[in-house]
Amino acid sequence: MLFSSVSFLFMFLPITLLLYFLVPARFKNLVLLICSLFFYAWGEPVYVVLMILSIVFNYACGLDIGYNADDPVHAKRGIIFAVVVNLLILGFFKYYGFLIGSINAVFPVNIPYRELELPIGISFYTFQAMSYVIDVYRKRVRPQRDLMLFAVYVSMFPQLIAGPIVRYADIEAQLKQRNISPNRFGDGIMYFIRGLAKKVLIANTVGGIFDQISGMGFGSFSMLTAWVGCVSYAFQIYFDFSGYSDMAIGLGKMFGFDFLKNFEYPYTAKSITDFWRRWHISLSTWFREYVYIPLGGNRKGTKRTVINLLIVWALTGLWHGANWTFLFWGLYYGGILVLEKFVIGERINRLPGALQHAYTLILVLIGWVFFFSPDLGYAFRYLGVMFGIGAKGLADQQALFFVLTNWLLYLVSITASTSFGYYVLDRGVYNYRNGQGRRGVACIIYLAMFIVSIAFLVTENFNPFLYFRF
Amino acid sequence: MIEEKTQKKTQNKTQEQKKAPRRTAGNPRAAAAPNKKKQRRPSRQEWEEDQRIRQEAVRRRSAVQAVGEPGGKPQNKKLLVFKYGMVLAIVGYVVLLLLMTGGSSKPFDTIEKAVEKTLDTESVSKTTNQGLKRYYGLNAADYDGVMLYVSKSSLSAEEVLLLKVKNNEQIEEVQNAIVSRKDRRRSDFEGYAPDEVALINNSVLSVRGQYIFFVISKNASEYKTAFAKSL
Repeated sequence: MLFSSVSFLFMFLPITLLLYFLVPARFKNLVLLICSLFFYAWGEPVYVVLMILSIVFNYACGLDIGYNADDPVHAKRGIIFAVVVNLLILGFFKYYGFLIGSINAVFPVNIPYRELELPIGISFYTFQAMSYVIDVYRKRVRPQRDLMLFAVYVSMFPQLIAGPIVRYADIEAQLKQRNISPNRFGDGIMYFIRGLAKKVLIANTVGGIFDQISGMGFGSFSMLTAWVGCVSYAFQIYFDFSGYSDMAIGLGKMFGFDFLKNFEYPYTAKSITDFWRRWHISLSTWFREYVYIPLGGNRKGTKRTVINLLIVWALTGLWHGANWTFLFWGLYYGGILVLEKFVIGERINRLPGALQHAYTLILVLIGWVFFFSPDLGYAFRYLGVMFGIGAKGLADQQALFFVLTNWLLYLVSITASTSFGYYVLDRGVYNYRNGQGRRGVACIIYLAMFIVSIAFLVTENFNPFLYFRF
Repeated sequence: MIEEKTQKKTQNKTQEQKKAPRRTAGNPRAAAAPNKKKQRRPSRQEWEEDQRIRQEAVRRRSAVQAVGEPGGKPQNKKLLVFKYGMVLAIVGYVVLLLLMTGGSSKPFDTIEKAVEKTLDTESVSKTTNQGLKRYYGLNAADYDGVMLYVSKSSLSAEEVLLLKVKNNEQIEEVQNAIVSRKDRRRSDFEGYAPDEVALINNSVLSVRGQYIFFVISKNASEYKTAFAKSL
């Protein structure tokens, strides 16, 4: 079930909210759990069993490690077992087809294999469960005795299928006791509607442009068209994913949870290091906490730091998908980050702001080419066209057509990528003179956004969410 | 939060006053109520600072540790057994999935040959891609492989379709086409050939990964088994 679908917005969500607010406090978690399982089972009737098994397994591991808190040998055994099993499950569903396919491609063998579809959200809930188990081992949290509370943490539908990756430590207190207030609920609705608008109004529309351009064969479009395509994809993936994260945060707030922000205007970054502090924050935090720091971080000398960074970024790339392009994408950023950390960082910081932005945006756009390409060959060809090789000229009628017919969309996208858009909205909705919200204005603006989003939704056939395949 | 905002605003206000005394000097309201904390619209920087403060508050709120019971019980054998039991359950579940729902990486020709061997070619004959278009409304060029056998006699509803899609989004449209085909065949035979209608109602549809297998036949379950084995 998608957040941006009629069945979710007008059936599942109202019913869940009604049930949640009608039942007494001690049943609220149960309601949330049942509705979340139903939500997942709606889209994955078979794989819901896998998620339940994974939850129970990690619950048992957490208890086991917690019980062995005074016995480091057994605790270590427990954590290694838990992490290995989780990674095997994730690895099997996600990567074994890719692995065997690659072996078949490289060696003169043809090993047939049975393929299984990727369970939706497996990367997200497996990483969440691992964060719990590792934090129990590090004694950062106590093991959760209540299976239901743990299940709510892993399977909570707002963040189940597409993040943000909520660490157990960040949410532990809120599981047992949370503050459900009309203020927070209203905040949640506003967040949700902003996310919905981003996804439906901007991401889907600009995605349509990208689909048109990527459907053209090489040699039939110009350099400018290639850049327009790449920029369109950059906007699509940002508004798609950040819109979905906003919807998740908004839904969380409606139920009384506070999730941390997942995006912080990444396209306003001034360096790639800065970019990754603003893009998919929950993922980079997870990798830093649970891979980079255990590997030694930057405390074991320059050479080791470089290796650690490259490992972390190779894994980050692979997390996004079982394809060489994603691995390349991860290492591409790993390499740039290493350069920025040790070689050119200082020089970048001394450049004027505009150049810093230009430098970052160009590198980011090149990175997205690897992200949207089905294979490395396509990626390099597309990049070639972007830089003049194999292009049908510098710019042509077609490119101008794309730009001129969609100039307003791009203008809106650019504005909404910076904090300026939200600033204007916020100023309109809050009256800072007396610290009160302007109820009438807020209702009109948000209702208008919601209605226009529904109008767009209803006329669309198929609006997949890009990050669903992770 | 509002007090912090107010404090900041009054601080900024005093700086602003120094810079641009025209703003409040001579303003009768300010003179009349000097103690009233007058707030004005925040500038972009102030607003961003405020957003950062709100985020920090969220972070601080969620970092509060819950009070739990102390740990340190001796190693629990039952828990270990339970843990390993769960792993076995997961492995068993995955094996079941592979056997019953897994697709295959084998090329289309291999599967096609394996299925064709078992077909009773007395009653059905292979059609070309035009057949797929005519009967199902689908373009064979959209897919990775198509095999369609339709019955030789117009009095029989027997049919075997094996199709490999290029990507998972196509599965739904193929399934819809199959359902439409079933409905049309049913209405073709309704009323005068109840045996055929029964066959149509007992037709077999199997979606395994990227392979879609549809059979209307009295041998439907045999053909399905042959298909499943060949994957």
